Amino acid sequence: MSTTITLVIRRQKPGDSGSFFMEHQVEADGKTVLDALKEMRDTVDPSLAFRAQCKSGICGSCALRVNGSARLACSTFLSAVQIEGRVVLEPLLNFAVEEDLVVQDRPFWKAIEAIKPWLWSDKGYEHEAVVPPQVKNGTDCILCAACYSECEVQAVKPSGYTGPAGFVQAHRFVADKRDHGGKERLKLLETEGLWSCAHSYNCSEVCPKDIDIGGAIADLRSQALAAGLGRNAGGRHVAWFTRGVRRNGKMNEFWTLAGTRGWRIIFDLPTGLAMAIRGKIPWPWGKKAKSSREVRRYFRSKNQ
Amino acid sequence: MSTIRHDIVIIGGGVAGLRAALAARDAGAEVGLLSKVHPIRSASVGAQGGMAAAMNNVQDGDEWKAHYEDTLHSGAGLCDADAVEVLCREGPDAVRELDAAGVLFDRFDDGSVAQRPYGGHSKARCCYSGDKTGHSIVHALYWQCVKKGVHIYPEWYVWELIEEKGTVCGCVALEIRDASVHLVQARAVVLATGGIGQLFSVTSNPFASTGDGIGLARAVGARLRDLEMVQFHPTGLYPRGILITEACRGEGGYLINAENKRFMFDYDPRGDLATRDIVSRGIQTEIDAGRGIQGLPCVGLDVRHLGREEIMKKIPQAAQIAREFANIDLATQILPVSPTAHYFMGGIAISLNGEVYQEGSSQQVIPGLFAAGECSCLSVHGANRLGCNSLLDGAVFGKRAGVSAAAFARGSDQISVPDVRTSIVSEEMHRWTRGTRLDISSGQLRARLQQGMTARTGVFREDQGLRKQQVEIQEIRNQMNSIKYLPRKGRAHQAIERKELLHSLVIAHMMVEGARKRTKSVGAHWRIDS
Repeated sequence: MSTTITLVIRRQKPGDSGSFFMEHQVEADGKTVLDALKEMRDTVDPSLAFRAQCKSGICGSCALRVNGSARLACSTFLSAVQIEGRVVLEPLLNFAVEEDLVVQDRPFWKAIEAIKPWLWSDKGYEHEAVVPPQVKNGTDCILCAACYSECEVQAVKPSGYTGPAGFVQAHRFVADKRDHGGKERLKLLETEGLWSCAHSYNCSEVCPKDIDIGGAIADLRSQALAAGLGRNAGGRHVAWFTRGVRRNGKMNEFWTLAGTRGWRIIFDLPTGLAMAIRGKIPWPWGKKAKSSREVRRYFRSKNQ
Repeated sequence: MSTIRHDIVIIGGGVAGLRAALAARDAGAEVGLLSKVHPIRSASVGAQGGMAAAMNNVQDGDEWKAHYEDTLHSGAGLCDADAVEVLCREGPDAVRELDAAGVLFDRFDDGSVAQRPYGGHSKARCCYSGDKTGHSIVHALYWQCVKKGVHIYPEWYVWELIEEKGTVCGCVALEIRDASVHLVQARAVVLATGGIGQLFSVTSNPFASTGDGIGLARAVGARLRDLEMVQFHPTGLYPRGILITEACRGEGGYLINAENKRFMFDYDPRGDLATRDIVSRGIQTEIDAGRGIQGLPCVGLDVRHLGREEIMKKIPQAAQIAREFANIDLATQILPVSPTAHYFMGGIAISLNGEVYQEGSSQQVIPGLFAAGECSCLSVHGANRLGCNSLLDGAVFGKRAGVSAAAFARGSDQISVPDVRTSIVSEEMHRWTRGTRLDISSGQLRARLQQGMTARTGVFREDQGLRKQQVEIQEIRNQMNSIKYLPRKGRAHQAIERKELLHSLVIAHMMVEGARKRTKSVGAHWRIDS
């Protein structure tokens, strides 16, 4: 028995700011989103614009939003994603739309280029360069920009933010023994927004290659701290947050904020007082968590 | 409309194109690279298994000579021995250069680049990066090009080459984004546009593999050779044709038929690791004899005995493709596979330095024009390419083409081209977009071409079918005037799909002709009526 689904495609003419939806019925059985798009272009509307290449999930061309979340069109089966018989296709978020499902990807490539994702080395071939396995994970990245689309920080369009894919590239080079970037790389990352990530982990969630992008960013941050970097609000936030957990087995909101803001906390005083009056601020010298001993042991075992 | 000038223009952004760009840049040339898809999306990223080079890191006594013998043997007498010698001698250095450029080859514990056995190779000489070797190489080369200041034009489509006084000195190109037409001037042009998988309905190649560069070269009088030589990879995921790497068998997997029998030893003493032409014929014979698994036209690829851990370590991408596209767990289930059009051994006839020969000649070259990689034919692969030799081909001969193009450019003046062609091309596109609107699209015509090619010019061929296909190609060509358009400002994909189809039809026509002429079976070209 065949299932028919309604394909809803958001379309936009080049140069227009407004978009419109086009609906079409397709047979869904065994078909991917890309199969359906190709069929649409070949039999219904040859002007329909979308990007696609390898149809095997390895070239990264065809990322778009399927029922609201970023995916690869070629490896997404209609039957698996349809909701009440409908599949809505839209261009990626956080990009300007060029035409229909095609986005202007230049800013994405530029943002990645900013972290200089090439081997910093003039040594040439090194026989003994064993590369640690954690590098491997990052090299799976196909630069499809699904993470870029779902990134909450990217949504506010900060300047100097390489974005999740950029951090993945950087992580791979920082761990690469052949690379002599070391601290310089981490410094560069600080200017490219290492401390701006708001760890929503949306990137890890949508990555079609299952790369732990959020984890990579966290790891880069601890490496930056270990290298004596992170002398900014982001770095201090991590330090004071950890300090609270190590000492008391739980985070302390007051000291985390105070530590992060430093002397600038005087600007927060009016808000702080108003909150304190309404009992919204926990006591700075509050009780320890029941498991605080265990937590301290854990920190000792991790040598921190 | 604008005019762009570079010393060297490279057309195509896969391994061969990027390597050529880098080599030309290192030689001091100012380089522009035009690619109809972003280089990171090139067909080369789909190359999985690895890159062969006699590095002897396994210390099994490997040397370039052994690699040379294997390649010649696999090519079934059609290889150019001098070219194969260059390929095999320069292999190890090509690997080291790529490693230094940032490619993450897997390593042995002692730090040397890891090597594994591969179909048709007598020694373990396949250097790899998991089963994403092409991906790893393309990414590293692309960013090296960015770093070194190669001007990259992603999503630019080359419409035609410009020839002035018998010398190729640029091209007319389309910026896909807004269909604007540009004149690109250069002292030398390197074609690295890849293969022709899109001539077939079942193929491992991306949509871009339509043979444009071969068509462009043909239009300026280049000699084409071995056009009937298409490699069918034995293990395309049924029914989509997605590539399942040969590494699955290199690591110990094997093929079985409906009777649960390992049938490959019936065809060749090397069994599952015989060369690709033999394995593809073995599979096709089993299928044609009704021994396909589950009553389908496919056989089973079994890697279950490797265990989950080994699978995830050695062939993770194959496991992911199986899971995503067939809902199959390689650790517990058998994967349905069948032959898929994979690699073009034929192409633009070139010299060892990538110079393009004129039609009917093996001495006269077309000044200013160079080619490398899958679109070219030396021939290093003969009638059947060895696995892992294509990335090597792209790296070794891409570099050579880049170097010799740079040398040529140094010794030649920029020929200034009167800008007449851009307006002619614009006019042509404009005429197309106003074309008579009947009910057929480029995509539908291509599908018709593909079905015929797969059915009649596939693993097995016979004269009757080939003749039928010639008629079919002519009919498709006649229908091209009826292609429908929806006039719309914006991306140029409608015009490009049509142009690509034109190139594909030219090549298909010559391929079928060549297949008819070659009545004897050799390598990947198998005539059942011979």
